[in-house]
Amino acid sequence: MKEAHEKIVMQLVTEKLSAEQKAELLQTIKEDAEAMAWYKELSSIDELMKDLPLVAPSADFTKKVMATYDRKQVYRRNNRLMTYFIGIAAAIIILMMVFLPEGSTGNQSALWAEEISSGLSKFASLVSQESFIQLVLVANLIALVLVIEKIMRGRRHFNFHTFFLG
Amino acid sequence: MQPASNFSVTEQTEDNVIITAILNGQRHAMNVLVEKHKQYACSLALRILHDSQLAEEVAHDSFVKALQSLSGFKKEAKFTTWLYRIVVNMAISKKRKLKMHFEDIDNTSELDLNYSEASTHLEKEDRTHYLNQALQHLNEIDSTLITLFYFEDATIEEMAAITGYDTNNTKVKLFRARKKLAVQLQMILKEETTSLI
Repeated sequence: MKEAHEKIVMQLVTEKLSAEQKAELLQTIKEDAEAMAWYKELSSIDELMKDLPLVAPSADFTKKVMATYDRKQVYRRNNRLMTYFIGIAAAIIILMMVFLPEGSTGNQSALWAEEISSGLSKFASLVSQESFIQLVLVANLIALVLVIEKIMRGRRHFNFHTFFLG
Repeated sequence: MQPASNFSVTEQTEDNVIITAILNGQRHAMNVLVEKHKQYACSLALRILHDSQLAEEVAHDSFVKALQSLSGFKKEAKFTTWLYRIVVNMAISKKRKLKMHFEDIDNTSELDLNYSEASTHLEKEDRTHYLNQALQHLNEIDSTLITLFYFEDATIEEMAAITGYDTNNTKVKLFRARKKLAVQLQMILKEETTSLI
């Protein structure tokens, strides 16, 4: 089959053409037996393919999809909650370390702050308290930027409840 | 194949209404969306994997993935184009993971003209049966293109978006895939006739 005729056959079986356009193109390949045979063969396959039935999945397919979706949503929600609470805890620690004076030991909050501080003593011994606070502040700033970016990206459908609780 | 453009537009609008309902928290809309597209998704996966159980598994995972990331779906595109892209990618990676055998027939253009004429006189049911067999011998991309072209009435542009090829390449690949299918069908019919004789 000539290359030009092959292109015409491709056009005939792939593009959406009017009856006149089709007749015109068929006229140009009329003399080429091979091109005509290809056209006939592909057209007959078209007819068969149109009649091939679609596959029906099992009856409980949708139920299974929804069950998996729900399971994954619970997992995602738990992950979000965990991140959320860790963020809050970190923020509270920072606030306590920044705002509570070291000397006010009679204050209950200051005692808690001391407890937490001693719990973090190992880490704090590695870095100075000042640089530790800076580190946590930077981490929180990054987290804040990520949250804002996420809100902006999905702002059309942003929903506080969905975002934090799934 | 002359897909009615009005039908596509209506379909797209309908899908967008369902998607908006899902994003507004209407859970039953998810069921509607899955019910509406499950047959096409399964059929597409089956044409690539040739195993109904695996196809259902892939369609299932594709729907879960689509529902999970539905908020990121841009409604300018057709939902089916987006969904089928997920199905195709998942089915192909599943096939590669399982290293399933497929026979990629040569890009042959040999068509027995006499036989071609004779085979059209076979019963339609027989030809359909053998056509199913022939489809199994195509590689995943050829199967995907053929399935989208016939079942989903997809345009060349939509097929290009799903497969990731450009439109010209998609057109040529689709044509070659159909030629391969025709040759493969003829080979099967020949074998069957020989064995009968």
